[in-house]
Amino acid sequence: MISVELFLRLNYLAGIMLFLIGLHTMLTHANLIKKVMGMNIMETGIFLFMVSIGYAHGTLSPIIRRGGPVQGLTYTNPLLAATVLTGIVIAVSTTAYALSLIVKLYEQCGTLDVDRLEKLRS
Amino acid sequence: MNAAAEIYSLVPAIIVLLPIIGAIACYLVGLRWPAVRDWLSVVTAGATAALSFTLFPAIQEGAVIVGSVPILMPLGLTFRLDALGFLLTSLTAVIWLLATLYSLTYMKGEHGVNRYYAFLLVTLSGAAGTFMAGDLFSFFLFFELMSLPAAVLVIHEETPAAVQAALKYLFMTVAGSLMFFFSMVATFEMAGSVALGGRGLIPEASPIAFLTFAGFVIALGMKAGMVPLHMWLPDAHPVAPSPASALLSGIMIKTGAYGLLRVMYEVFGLEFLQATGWNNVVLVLSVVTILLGSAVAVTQYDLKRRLAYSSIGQMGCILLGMGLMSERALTGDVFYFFADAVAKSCLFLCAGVILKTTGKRDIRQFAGLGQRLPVTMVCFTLAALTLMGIPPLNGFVSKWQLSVGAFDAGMPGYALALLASSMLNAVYYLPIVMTAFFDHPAPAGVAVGAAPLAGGEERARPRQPEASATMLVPMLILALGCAVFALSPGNWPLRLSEAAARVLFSK
Amino acid sequence: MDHLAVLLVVIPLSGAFLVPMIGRQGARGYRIALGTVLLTAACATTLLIITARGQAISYFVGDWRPPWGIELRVDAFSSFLSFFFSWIYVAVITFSARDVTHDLNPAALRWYWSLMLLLLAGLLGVGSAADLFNLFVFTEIYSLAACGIISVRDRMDSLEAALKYLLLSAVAAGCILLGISLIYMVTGHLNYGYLATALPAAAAASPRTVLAAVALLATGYAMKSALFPLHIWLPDAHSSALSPASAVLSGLAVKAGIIALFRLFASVLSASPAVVRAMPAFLGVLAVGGMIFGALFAMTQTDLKRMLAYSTVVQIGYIYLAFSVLNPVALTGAILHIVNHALLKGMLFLSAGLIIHRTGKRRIADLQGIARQMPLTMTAFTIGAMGMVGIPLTNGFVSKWYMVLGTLEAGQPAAAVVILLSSLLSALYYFPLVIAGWFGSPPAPEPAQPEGPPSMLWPVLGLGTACLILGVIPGPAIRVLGAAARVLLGQ
Repeated sequence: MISVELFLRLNYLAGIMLFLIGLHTMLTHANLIKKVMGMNIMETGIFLFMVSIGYAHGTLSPIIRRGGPVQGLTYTNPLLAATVLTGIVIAVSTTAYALSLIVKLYEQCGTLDVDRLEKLRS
Repeated sequence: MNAAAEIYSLVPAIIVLLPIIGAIACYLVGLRWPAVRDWLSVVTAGATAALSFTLFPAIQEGAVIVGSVPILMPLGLTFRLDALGFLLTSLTAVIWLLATLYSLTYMKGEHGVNRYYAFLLVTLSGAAGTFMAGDLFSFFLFFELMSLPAAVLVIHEETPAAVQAALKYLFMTVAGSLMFFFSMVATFEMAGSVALGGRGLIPEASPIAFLTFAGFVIALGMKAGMVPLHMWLPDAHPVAPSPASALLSGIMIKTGAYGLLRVMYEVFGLEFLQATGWNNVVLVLSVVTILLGSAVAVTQYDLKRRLAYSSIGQMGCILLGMGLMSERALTGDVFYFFADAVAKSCLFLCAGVILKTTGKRDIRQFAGLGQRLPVTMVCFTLAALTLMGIPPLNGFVSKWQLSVGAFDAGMPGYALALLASSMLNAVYYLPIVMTAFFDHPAPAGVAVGAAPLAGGEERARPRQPEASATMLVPMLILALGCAVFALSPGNWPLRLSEAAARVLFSK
Repeated sequence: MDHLAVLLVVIPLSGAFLVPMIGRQGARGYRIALGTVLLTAACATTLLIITARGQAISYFVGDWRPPWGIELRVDAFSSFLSFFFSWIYVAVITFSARDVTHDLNPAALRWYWSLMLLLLAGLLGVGSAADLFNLFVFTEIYSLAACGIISVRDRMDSLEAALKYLLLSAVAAGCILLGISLIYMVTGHLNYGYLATALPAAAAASPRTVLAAVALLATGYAMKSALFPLHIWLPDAHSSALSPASAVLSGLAVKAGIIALFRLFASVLSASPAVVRAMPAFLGVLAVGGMIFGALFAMTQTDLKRMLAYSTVVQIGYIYLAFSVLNPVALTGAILHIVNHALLKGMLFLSAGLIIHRTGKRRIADLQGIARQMPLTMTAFTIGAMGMVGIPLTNGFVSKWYMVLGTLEAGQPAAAVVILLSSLLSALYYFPLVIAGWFGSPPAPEPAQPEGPPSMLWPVLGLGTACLILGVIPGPAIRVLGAAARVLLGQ
């Protein structure tokens, strides 16, 4: 059972690690595309974390057949799956919007580097 | 006199409202008919003065007039008019009337006259409201209503110097009002009320109570030109048009002292201050103010700057009087408000005539002015003698009472400060008078004195009358005011001062 | 009647979709937007009348009840804010008609209207969401719309500012979402009501997780609301947007984060242990930094709109500081200041917009004597400046009165002193501008022209009048706010 426990913990750990890696990438890299990639990694980490919360080892997907839930069986929490879906929608639209902004900026300034953009501004 | 019969009346509210309506009307009328506007502003100021005098019978019987307008602002507005408030309110209205009358000629042909009259009336509303406020909150509101529009009067000339002075004035006013705001809220927090007219609101001495006291002293002392918070005053008062200077120096800085008086006697209370000894803060600062203000005045050669520093010195005497905590001193103090307001406005109006007819500001060039402008210089002399405390003028009466009060309070040392004030006043006022009457003007082209300030050339029109009647009459009235009351047996301002001091001491 | 709660969000949301579909040509987009906003304002007004005495209206989406269903809940707090937000929006949309058509090409114009409405939907949604996840969704809606409004002006500095805002906003969103999932992990609830009951036990069982969640939520929303030192995106974003958009972004959008935090810390999380309650105090310390440094930065600005943007950082500090003491009086002041600042800053940005529209000047040094050309605009600007400093008879004074009184009541005179010090600093950067505008000498005499089109002048004057009315007769607003603050603090 220890391995299973560890596996479950790893889920959370991986989620947090991805969050931190993404955050680090967003805050430290000067390249805009890398920033957007970092954003996606960060969000993926959160989604992994959220899905893991809803999951318990040995449970079924929350699809209930005719006749109602079977006695003695447990189901995963569907609420988190639903929220993660919403979260993914938001993440995708943010990414798309960020990328379109980057394309426009690149067309106008010819650079993806934040520092050089800053210099161009002033 | 029966103690504190309260009469409910909204006349104070009307006194405040009338000038504001008048200001708006003046501004609108002035866009098309400047002549109508000029007289409308005089009529408004006159009506305000007349309205304030309708309250005299009630006040004379010792009644207190109260009124309230509850809908305004978080706490509502309240008015409370007792002998002290009445004396200063009616004085304010009268001096405003005279200054407005004086402005008719003085401001003719200047730019922005419309704005000038409108803001003159708004500040009247604020100043009158300050003296009639029934609680700290209303006081604060009117204090701001007076102080901020006054910046427009200071900046009137729109020269770089005026803009600089106005900004300095504005920043210090805002800083002061924030201090006052803090202390007011702290008072409300400690006492649950900010109503004036009691024997003290603050329950006990604590660090926050001292902070509150300090905030009041700084905020109101700043307005009153107390050293070391006087920096704005010598810049702001001289750059304003002379009638506005007269009001700034004559009345508006008194609101600061008046506020401090109320705060000391009605927010903190006599026993409280006697127990804690916090009034010594005011005493020490007032002595510094007297000495420094008067001493610096001696070194100024610009007439209006000298008058401004002299105002600081006089405010020192007023602050001293309220710090002494004796009934006699307070009588003298209240009368000093009156005496200084009349004399100082008169001096500034005289300075305005001198400036307008000769273009001179530098007192070293005043030789021969006594022949040239006899009426003006006589008025000037009378007012100056008042401030020196020469008997039997107003200034003597108040200084006498103050000095006796200092002995009453067991602090005779402070009488010396008053003596010093009188002597220094003589040092800086007498030379002006001497030069004007007894020196002969130097031949043209020869500079008099070390480095004359920028002064215009003398416009040689010897046969002309020295100024129009609307300028001379206000000056004459004020100059007579310096003497008449002290000489007449029924000196009602002094009677009112006595009543005010009695009320503050024996409630 | 319950439907009003959801209509408040649905009306602007549908308007946002209608404009790009049928509002393509000419002024139709503007008309749809104005109609939508007016309808929303009417809805918010009705809600305010209903909820003014303290009761709340709940709407369950699809009639699914909590803990599983989505609840929208309008109480005195949210209806008070919605009322003012939507009416300010009416002014801003009216103002936009002439200003924006001047700056944008017709193709971008309909996106402008659409995004403005989307922003409104998000803002009102933040106020009325009753569970953490919908709060997050509405937060993202308004954030993305806000970025969009900045970038709709297709210029390099706007694009860069929008991207900066978007990326920082994404970081904030990540923090918020992680915080929400941690809270859900320990309590099993997202709905505010259930959360409040479940939290004490969960916090006792796993205090560190709750603390981490609260810290993440606080960080996220502090970043969205530009609390110092997380304000770095704000000056660029607010100064490079179109003027009416700046008015909305600076006046309303930054407040959404504050509204969310008020709701969370004052009611939802208030049942939890002291370590969670300490978070507002920590935010208060940051607020002090914002009030001092924001003011210092504002003083050094040469661009009018950048100065106004830094002034927003300062005002946000006021609100957080008053909030941090968590007592009803200070909270009343803080909520009132949200509204007052929205009115004042909206008006200031609109008058700046009018000045820029009419003269093309946006450098502070160029504004000498501007009042000779635009006296009414400058009057409004002066009212705004006085409100920011907190001069009596303006609304800024009333909220300052309650904020200072509240901090003193909470036994924190130092906070009161900071509030007043920052007011003085505000005077230092607003008053020279006002004085220069009225009394400075203009570089060259300008030909006499009308001050601006009435559709731009009236919104400015209307907001100015509202500022004065709230300043002179604050009684009714205070009564509603008293109810709102009690609701918020669960008393």
